Amino acid sequence: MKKLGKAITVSVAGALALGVFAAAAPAGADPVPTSTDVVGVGSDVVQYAVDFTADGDALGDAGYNSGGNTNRLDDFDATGDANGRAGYLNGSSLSSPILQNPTIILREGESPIQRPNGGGAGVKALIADGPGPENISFARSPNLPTAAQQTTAQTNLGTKLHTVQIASDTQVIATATTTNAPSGLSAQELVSIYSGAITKWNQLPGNSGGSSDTIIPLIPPTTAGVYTTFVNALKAANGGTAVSLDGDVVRTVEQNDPSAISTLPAAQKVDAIVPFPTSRLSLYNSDYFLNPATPYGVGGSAPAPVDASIKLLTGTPGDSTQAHPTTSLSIPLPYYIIFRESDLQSQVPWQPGSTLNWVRALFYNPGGSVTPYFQTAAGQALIAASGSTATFADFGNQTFN
Amino acid sequence: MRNHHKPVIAGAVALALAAGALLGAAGSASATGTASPWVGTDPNEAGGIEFFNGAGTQITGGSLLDGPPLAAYAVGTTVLSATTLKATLYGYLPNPSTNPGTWSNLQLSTSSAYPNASAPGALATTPYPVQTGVAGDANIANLVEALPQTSSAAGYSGTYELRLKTTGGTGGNPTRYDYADITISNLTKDTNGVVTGGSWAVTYTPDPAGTATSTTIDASTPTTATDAAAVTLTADVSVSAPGTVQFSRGSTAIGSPVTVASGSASVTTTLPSGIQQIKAVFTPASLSGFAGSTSANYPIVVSHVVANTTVTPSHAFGSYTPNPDSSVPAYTSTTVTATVSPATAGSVTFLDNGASIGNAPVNGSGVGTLVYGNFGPGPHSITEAFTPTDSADFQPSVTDPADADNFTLGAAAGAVPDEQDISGSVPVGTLAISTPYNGSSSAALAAGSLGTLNVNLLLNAPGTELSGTAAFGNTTGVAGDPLADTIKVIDTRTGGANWVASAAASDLTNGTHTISAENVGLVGLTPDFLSGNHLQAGNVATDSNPAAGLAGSPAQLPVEPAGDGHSYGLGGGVAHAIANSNDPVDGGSGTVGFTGTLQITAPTSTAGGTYIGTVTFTVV
Repeated sequence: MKKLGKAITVSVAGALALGVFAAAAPAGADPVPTSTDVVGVGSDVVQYAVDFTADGDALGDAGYNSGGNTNRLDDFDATGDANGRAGYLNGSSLSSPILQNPTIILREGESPIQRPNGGGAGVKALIADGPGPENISFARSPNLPTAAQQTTAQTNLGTKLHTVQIASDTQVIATATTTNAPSGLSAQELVSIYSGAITKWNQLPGNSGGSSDTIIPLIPPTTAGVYTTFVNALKAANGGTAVSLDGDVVRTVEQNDPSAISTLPAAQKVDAIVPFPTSRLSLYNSDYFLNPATPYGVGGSAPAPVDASIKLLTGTPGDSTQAHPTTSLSIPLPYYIIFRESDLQSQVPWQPGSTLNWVRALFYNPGGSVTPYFQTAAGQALIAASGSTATFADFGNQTFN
Repeated sequence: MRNHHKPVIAGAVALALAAGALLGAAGSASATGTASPWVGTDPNEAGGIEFFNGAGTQITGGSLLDGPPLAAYAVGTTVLSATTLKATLYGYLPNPSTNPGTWSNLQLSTSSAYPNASAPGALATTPYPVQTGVAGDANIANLVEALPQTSSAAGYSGTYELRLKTTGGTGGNPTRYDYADITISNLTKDTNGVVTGGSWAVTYTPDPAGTATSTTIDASTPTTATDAAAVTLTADVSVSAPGTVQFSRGSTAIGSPVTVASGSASVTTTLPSGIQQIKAVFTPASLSGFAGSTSANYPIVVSHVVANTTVTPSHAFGSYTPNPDSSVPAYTSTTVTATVSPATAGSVTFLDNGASIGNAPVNGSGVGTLVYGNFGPGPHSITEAFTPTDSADFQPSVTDPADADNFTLGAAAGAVPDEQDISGSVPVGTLAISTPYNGSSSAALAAGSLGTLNVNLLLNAPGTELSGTAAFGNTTGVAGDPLADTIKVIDTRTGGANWVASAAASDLTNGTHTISAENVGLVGLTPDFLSGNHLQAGNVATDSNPAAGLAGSPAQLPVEPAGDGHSYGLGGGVAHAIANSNDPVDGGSGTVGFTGTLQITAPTSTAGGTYIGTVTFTVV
């Protein structure tokens, strides 16, 4: 899926003002779905699993749309950039970025609307998509809908939301490859860091000999599902009490984007941490992402793969000798597909001549003999190509709060 | 998503070289099966698909429930792209209302990398795309369940198209595809639409393009032969291509396909008589890179041979041990056997010392037997004469004197039988029919004879036609012949056969004008039985044949013109049944007479005058 080519990436800890603004027009390379296509929006972390399953991966595996069916699976990424980076407007500075708010056209003939950036935004957009013809078929998210969202969905859409899990992933802490961070950070330590109780590396338990630099804790935007999973993990480690993030030290960056760290000045890079999905680093390490600074075709060969220049903390945290955490933070990160319950029950076949509606053709076909595409060997290979682990579970109308 | 990998580029170069070598060869495409209606309408069609099981043996069908995958390997027969890396198999639902490029489909397989060095045999090295099936793929049952074929259009009913596509690499995914059309048969589903049985078979796929070959019938193959001797047919295949040759004469295959060895293949066979057009069709070995070819017809004139036969006698004396024969008393019941070679049915005459002692049929196994109890004392020499039923294919024969069955019997054990010939004869008898009406001999009619039956035609009351009738047989006949004025049937035949009497009229003419024979009718036939005769009521039936234009005749025909092709009344130039006997045991033997009425009609336009015709009676 091609994205907006003029997006600008910035790091957030510098002071350099940006003199170039991004065009506000919708991404011309985005799909423009027809009224009978299936349209997905939402989570950044889930997007590549769905992107690949829709259109194939870079390893030569064909996707659902490769067969040329009349109706397509169209998956809008969270940002207007195929590398998963955010775009910012003119006037942004490293310390005060101004999000571009890129747009998408959900159905042919319609006006552009703000692109749902993240699982939270995706679910909100889905439950706001009614009554009337469906513009959004499903949302990607690492979180189940809340009870309040189910209630709103019933009111707005006339049906509850149904959730299936297509893959699993984990969210861990990422740093620059050269960092002052210890080899592992426990959830308890991260509570202290993100609440501002600990600001320097040598204040961490068992790390008195560490750097005296100030820790730079980064966090995804609140619209991102991975923000929710992270703060929920901190809450759990904080005895069930939500952690009040220290706004003076915690800075918001685009979710799941290693450039949030790799583009920082060297002096800051070594002190930055950010929650990050293991799948995304795997995708980087598979050389999927090419250097976006290299124009296509220059030199007659493909651009070189871009290095994420980050690493994931999986070692033993300094507080491991204490009673509570013994391992570095690792948060389960399920890949949820959330859709209308009524679409699962629909008797309207999706493809001409088919016996299956789109939910049953793609995601979930309870009682049916035909395996939904995402559960086939082909679909699961494509999911795996995103770096996640293909799995399937039906969560029905379950919620979380 | 677009992406690029250095290892991919290197792999693409290697594939490009292999493909270039193949594409540089001349191709000669033909096809397997009958082309589906849409073949040729989609510019993205490329080559065919061949399917193989896990052992590398080609398959052309199977159960709908096989797999998944439906086949261990699906192999395209063209290089769709020199740079693509993986192959994927799809099932498409042909729809006569839409372009083949827009048909709904189900992806049947994962995308598998090729070449697949782990594949058996030539599959491991073929430059063509190879899709390797894995668990978790779909099978044909899934395709049928997801996309049921509901079209009944010719060529579409029960038909799907499998397509092989390739992806990956640096050159973009080609839109061209290899394809094979399959037909579903004996499909069964449960109430939920789940397939429970059925089979699929490839009904059309283009044959591989490849190096051209040529096939000829070798000059060593004879141009003349007989239907009694085997001949060897040899075909030569150019460029030493591996494969098989199927010989045929006309549309009939001769044996099974013969593997080509050192450029030739032979089969030995016996041909039927006539001019036989021999043809050899070369099918290249799968994935060999060669194209098939067919020889020109090679005529062989095969003449018919009538086979010679031999007939050999033998005998057995029942409970007597025939050693020596002289210990066997004369007149002992003896089974004499004739054995015909080659075996064929017919009849055989047994001779003792040159004199016939009886006949017997010979069965299909060439064996006939006679049980004979009149061999006297002394020497006997049994010979036989065989007459085949199939005289077109077998010659008659007599026993070679050297093969005569010779034996000598001892004295009679008891009284000598006194053999007397008896005979009886049954006369064949005759079957005859007669009437008293005979105009040609009217001048010499016997007393009481009616001569010509005259009918006066008068205008009927509605004024629509002329008609008249004449009853006959209403007299008492003549002295000694009470049936003299009837139509009389006399059956003196033996054998108990029944008879059928019929009549056919000729057109009536006055020399200038004609009245159609269909306007002549014979109705009201009533049997007139003789007292004490076998033929009585209950074993004789009659038929009515009214003239056209009268009651019981076709309503649309007041009268019939001559020569219109109908056969109403007694006309039409055919015999009309008027009476028959129906005694299943004794048949129609005896004598019976029939009284009745003759009818004649004519159009009102008929010119006045005397019209003469004849009614011919027959009985068989």
